[in-house]
Amino acid sequence: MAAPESGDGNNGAARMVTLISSDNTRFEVEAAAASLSQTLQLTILDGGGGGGDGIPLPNVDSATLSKVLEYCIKHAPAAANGGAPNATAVDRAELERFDNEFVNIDQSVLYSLIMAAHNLEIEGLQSLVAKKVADMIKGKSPMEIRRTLGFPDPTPEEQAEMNAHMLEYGWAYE
Amino acid sequence: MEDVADMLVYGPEFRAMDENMQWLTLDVIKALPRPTVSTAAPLASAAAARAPADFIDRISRLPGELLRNIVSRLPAKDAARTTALAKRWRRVWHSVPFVLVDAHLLSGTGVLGRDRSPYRGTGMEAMVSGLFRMVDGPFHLTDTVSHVLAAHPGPFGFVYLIGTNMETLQDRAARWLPLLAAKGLKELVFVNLAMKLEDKVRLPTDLFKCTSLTKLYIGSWWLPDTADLPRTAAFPYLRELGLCNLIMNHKDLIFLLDRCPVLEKLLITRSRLPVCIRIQSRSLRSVQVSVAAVPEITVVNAPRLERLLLWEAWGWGDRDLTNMSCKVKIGHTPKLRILGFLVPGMHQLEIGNRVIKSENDDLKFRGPQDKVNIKFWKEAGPIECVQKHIKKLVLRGFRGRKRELDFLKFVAEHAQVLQEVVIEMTYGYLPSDNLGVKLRIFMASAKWANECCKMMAVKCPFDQEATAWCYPRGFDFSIEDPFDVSKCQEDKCGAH
Repeated sequence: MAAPESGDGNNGAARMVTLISSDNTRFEVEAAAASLSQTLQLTILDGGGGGGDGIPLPNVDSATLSKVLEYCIKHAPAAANGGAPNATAVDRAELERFDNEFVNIDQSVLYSLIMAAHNLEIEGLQSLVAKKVADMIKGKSPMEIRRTLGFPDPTPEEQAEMNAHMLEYGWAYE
Repeated sequence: MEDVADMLVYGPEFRAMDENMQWLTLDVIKALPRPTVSTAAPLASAAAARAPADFIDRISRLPGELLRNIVSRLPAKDAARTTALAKRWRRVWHSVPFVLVDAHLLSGTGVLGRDRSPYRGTGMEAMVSGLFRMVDGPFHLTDTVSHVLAAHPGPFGFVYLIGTNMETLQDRAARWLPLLAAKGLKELVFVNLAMKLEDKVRLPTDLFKCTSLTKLYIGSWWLPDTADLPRTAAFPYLRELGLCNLIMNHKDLIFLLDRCPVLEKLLITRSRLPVCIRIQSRSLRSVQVSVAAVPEITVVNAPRLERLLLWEAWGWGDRDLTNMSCKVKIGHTPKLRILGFLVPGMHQLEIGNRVIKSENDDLKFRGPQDKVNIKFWKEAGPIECVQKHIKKLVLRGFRGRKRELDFLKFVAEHAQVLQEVVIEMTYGYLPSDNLGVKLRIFMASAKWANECCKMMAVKCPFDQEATAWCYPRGFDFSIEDPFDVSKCQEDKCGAH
């Protein structure tokens, strides 16, 4: 790629960009943090998002965006270092602790987050939420999964299908 | 890796092995790549993530791509159970590349009946399910694996089979390979759970039908006679190959390597019978040989080879136990950057036409406690390499002996371009212990040739008998120095 992202930061002041949520709230963040989004990265490299303009994000509301940015700000330094491989064990442990705490949130927020991470192409965040939901499913029966994930109670037909499933996939229930 | 090793350790097969065999079996498992899914659920904490009480199924509104991302992180049993949720979820599982770790089928994560016991979450599940397996007998796992492999239409992503003793169950297990081949399997770990050191089970030649493989680890097999294979047999997409505790002869190994035209990563470990390794490959980038009887390693032509990592890769010594030397011949390798560990007196290095041998024969076959001329470096006169070229020095297994300190001081006072010294404490010691204090006090009096050089003491992250690096890092080209243990992800790398 062309110029390094931190090129503007030579006077100590990092370059800032403005993001605008669907409900018109403006968020000012460092370009390096916002660039964790593959979707935004090109616009930012192109010089967009600065000054009074701002980048509108019609798919993301302000509550979700502030959460997304919290993640990006925390992960930006590691990402700038070219990812994890050469980071020290202490740095990695600290990020892991942050991640575990970060997804300890209400499920409706969790799904908004993964949708936003999907739309903005923030791979790390998408994986983190997917891992969280997968962990919530592990070791549970279908009925327990339904309850955990907030499905309505099964209709009689659905119940019959679940019973049939248990016969067909016996090995998965042992 | 813990879940996989635990399931095995509490099983009846493992208990029936003698101590040496148990040790070897665990060592083979440690050399295998980590499964991409785990039964552990560190993020589960359902209380905080509870669904709102309005019974709206929000998750099913997510796009298919995200549901697939979630399901692809589940072990086979959990993934299969999600298909009971709704028709859409059935399609999701079927469109995710299938992942199976046979050890997970043994785990105490059963959701009905007996395994749903008070032992759940107590750390005793593995032990309890081990007891049940004694009742079930050896066919149970093998038959379950067969069911599971038939249940998913493919394509198959990652299959990890380590829990079947192939000597007794050869017929059943032999049926798996054609199935895996037909479903386009990408990554396979296929280990015979051998019970005795002298077990010799031929690797089924059907393995060569799995031509879509990109990663393959095989363990505790007898490599088949490749003369019987069709001349077209090959793994055209294979990039990573691990050969663990195999009985193989020189010509079959050459055949195998020759049939992997894009192979980049090769691991040979626990080779108990001697085999010469000959490398002629346009694609190989990293070769790791550990705990193996190898009288000779010849790299004829390997234009992309960057790393040749050796650990206890020694000769056989069958006729003369004092001669376990291993010849390492390096031919055309313009990109070779890392070579070692070389052991004086054991390895004879030939680079091009130059033979490099340790002149000090006293070093041959002496343990560290024997007295050798420990100041040979002082008598050698100025050593150009030390003075002008060494940038980094890593001293492993530091015990605080006088000669270790003398050596460190010698290098520190002569190496003009030295930038970094890493001292790894001997197993069981911390840099903050007396040993580390002794080191710092002694080195404080050194007059460093390069005053900007940094010195760092770290604790040994490995098991006492383990290699000095982890295999995954030996294969990770984004890491400049696979030996730098200060960057090691403790408990996340295989060899720990």
